[in-house]
Amino acid sequence: MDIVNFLRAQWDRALAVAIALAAAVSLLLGYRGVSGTPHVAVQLPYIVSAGMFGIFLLTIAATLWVSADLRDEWRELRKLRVRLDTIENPEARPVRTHRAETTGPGSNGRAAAEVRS
Amino acid sequence: MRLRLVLADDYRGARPRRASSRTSDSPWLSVDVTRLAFALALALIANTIAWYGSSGTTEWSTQMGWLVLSIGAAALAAGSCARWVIAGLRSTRWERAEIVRVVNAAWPDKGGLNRAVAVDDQFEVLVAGPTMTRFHRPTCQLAAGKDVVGLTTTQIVAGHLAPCEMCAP
Repeated sequence: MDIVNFLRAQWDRALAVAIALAAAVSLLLGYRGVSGTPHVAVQLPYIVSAGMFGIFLLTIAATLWVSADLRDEWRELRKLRVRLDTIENPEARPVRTHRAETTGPGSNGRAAAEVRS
Repeated sequence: MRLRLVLADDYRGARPRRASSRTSDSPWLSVDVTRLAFALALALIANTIAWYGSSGTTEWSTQMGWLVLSIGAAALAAGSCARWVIAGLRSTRWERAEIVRVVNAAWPDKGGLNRAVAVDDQFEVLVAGPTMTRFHRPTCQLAAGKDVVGLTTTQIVAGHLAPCEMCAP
């Protein structure tokens, strides 16, 4: 697989790595700025900008990576469910197109009605 | 029209989603994307303002205020990301619950078969011999010393095998 196809298929993970690298650079720059002066008043803007921004970027990178895993798992489950629905109702169209998903149950343990045509 | 009841406990907090508002091929709704983008943009703007404010003064008490704003922005970003991940987890759990529901509806419990599948899930191989009408745990006394082979769930169903009453697989 060439690099373009790989990046296209794994764009979220590639973006996560790129953002994590940017976060590392930001934190390094912050460290450099903080270590270059003994005055707290000068150090604080580095903490606020580079330090907090680095943490911000790291959070986004981690979220992207976890999202990629979740999306993969969800896609596999969805494919499987569509196949199962087709087995269950071979003459019907895929259930997903019929079902009003918002009629699903809440978290209070009560039974919920699901209407299907 | 057919009315069907679905027990809420099957979903365990799974999130019913409206298909029409779902982003293509993704467990998140478009409203989730909007919320996350808005919160991240807000956090980024707040952080930039905090940086601008803190770098314009050398007074400690003023800088502390900007630092608190910056920490708040980071907390907002982290919270939004956590909410995003939780939304994805709930959608995934919903899909899994639906699969379980469809499988249970299509292949209902037949005399311990579901229990056998549960045992199988724990990586314990169930066994039976070619002339046997029951399947056993490998440690079962009734299978000891006999010519038995490991079974898959499909083989158990296809062979109309019943679970052994002694080892109760």
